[in-house]
Amino acid sequence: MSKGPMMDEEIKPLLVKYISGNADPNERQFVRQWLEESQDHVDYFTSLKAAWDDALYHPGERRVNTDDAFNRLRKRLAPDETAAEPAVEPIMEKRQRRLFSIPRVAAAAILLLIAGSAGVYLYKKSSPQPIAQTALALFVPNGKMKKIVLPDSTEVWLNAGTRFSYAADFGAHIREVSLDGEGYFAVKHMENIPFVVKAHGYMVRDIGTIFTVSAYPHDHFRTAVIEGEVEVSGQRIHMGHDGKVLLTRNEVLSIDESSPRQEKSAGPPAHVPEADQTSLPETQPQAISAVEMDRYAGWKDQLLVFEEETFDEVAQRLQRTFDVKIRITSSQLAGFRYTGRFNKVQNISEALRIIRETTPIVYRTEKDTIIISMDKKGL
Amino acid sequence: MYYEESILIEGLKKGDMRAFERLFREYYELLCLFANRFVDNMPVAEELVSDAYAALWEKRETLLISTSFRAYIYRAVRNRCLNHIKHQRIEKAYMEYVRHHHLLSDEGMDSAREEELAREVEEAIESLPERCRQIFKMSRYEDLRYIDIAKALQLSPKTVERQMMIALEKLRRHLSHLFASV
Repeated sequence: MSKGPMMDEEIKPLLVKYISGNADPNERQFVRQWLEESQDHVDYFTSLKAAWDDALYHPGERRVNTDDAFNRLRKRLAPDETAAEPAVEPIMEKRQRRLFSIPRVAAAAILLLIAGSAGVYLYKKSSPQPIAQTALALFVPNGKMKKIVLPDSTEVWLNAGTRFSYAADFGAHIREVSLDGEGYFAVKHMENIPFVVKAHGYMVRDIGTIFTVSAYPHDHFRTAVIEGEVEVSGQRIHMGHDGKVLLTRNEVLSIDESSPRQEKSAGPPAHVPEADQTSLPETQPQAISAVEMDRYAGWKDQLLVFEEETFDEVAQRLQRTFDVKIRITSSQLAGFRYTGRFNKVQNISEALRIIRETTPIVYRTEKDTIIISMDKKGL
Repeated sequence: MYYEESILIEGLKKGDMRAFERLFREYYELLCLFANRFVDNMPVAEELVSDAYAALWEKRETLLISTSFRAYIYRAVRNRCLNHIKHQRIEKAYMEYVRHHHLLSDEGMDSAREEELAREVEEAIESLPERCRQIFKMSRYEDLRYIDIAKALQLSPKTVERQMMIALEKLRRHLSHLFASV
């Protein structure tokens, strides 16, 4: 373990960047190569990694919440049991006490708890406003997926490339969260405190339910209901029902964001442009089967489903899921429609291999970009 | 209050949720830290530990524990972790790390050793120079990225990078003796 000082000083900050999840793909690649060079390198790396992991044992900075974890587990094992019977008398072990010894804003604590991995980070918007209004936000980078639990015990899965936030007063009168990307929500129903997802100018309001919302920049707005009902509103929805669309189980609403309005990509997600009354987008919910639902909700269980999707759409989702850059060089391919199911596919090469089985493509890697073109021989 | 573990196991077999809760609370946090070493992702670690307990509850009636409960539950969690990472591309260095550090033993960490580690970690981190400590804590406990730490503290990202390196290197030296015999 004393090999530290003999290491090239240049590499140390890079290893720490790698371990703490701050390295970019090139730097990660560099570290991997460096590790191949010698056993000393590996030993040094593992001792740093051990120190990084050990730091979680800091008594004042514990982030595992045993109470919450147990409550969730009990619900899962015995869902009909009411909460009437309290847990056994508080167990005042030293370990438990330490956990709660530091006062924190409740919302902050929850977010810290859930953002445990190196790939996820929190940022606090620095603003002169009082603490209570400070928004907390979570970003899930491409190639990652996160499950979080909100203070009201609503469970949320966030897909790759998603920003998610809520204000510190979440739950006081309304439970409002903002989404820029894709999320799966299993909402804890509360009669008087509605749960609302704001995404790209749409509001999806739950009526005790499980649903998904997909609102990536430059992509369709989609919401699908797995259980219960939701109410979707937004200026682009003109249905004659007070500007609201009601969706129930196994229904999906998909709105093509790119069509009638001028794209304001630089604007914040909440920006709602004037709707063009003459060419409104499709705002009818569609009934879908449970199998088709996988297209909207499967990602939560690492199931990636394409249903008659253009290659552009396929490439978009692959980029996010596997944190890669893809370029399509053939315009013929861009119009090609692909259908397929990928169950727990772990990397892009495996995915491309599967696509190639049914689609005439060839691909190669140039620097950090995957170039896909049409395989002329395959036609 | 102290319960003999064998009494809890008997209770669990009969479907006593409170016995199950005792067994959960006793080990949950340590198991999460243990699992995190394999999967390097705390939410995933928590889920794997909960899954192990869920399986324990579901087969409670036919449960057969020939060793201690500690050994049993650590092994169950370890197997889940190994299964989880089996499907991922794991670097050689990382596997090496897993092989070291007691990860493959059945006992995991006992509470005496955990107490010691907790004390040493606190001491090591609190002894860092103030700025260095602040930066390290923001990265490790708040999951802030270098760039966000730099912004928040009005420092250059290079400074953050350097302070992080100093912090982890000091921590490594401070703690290495705990694993020296491994």
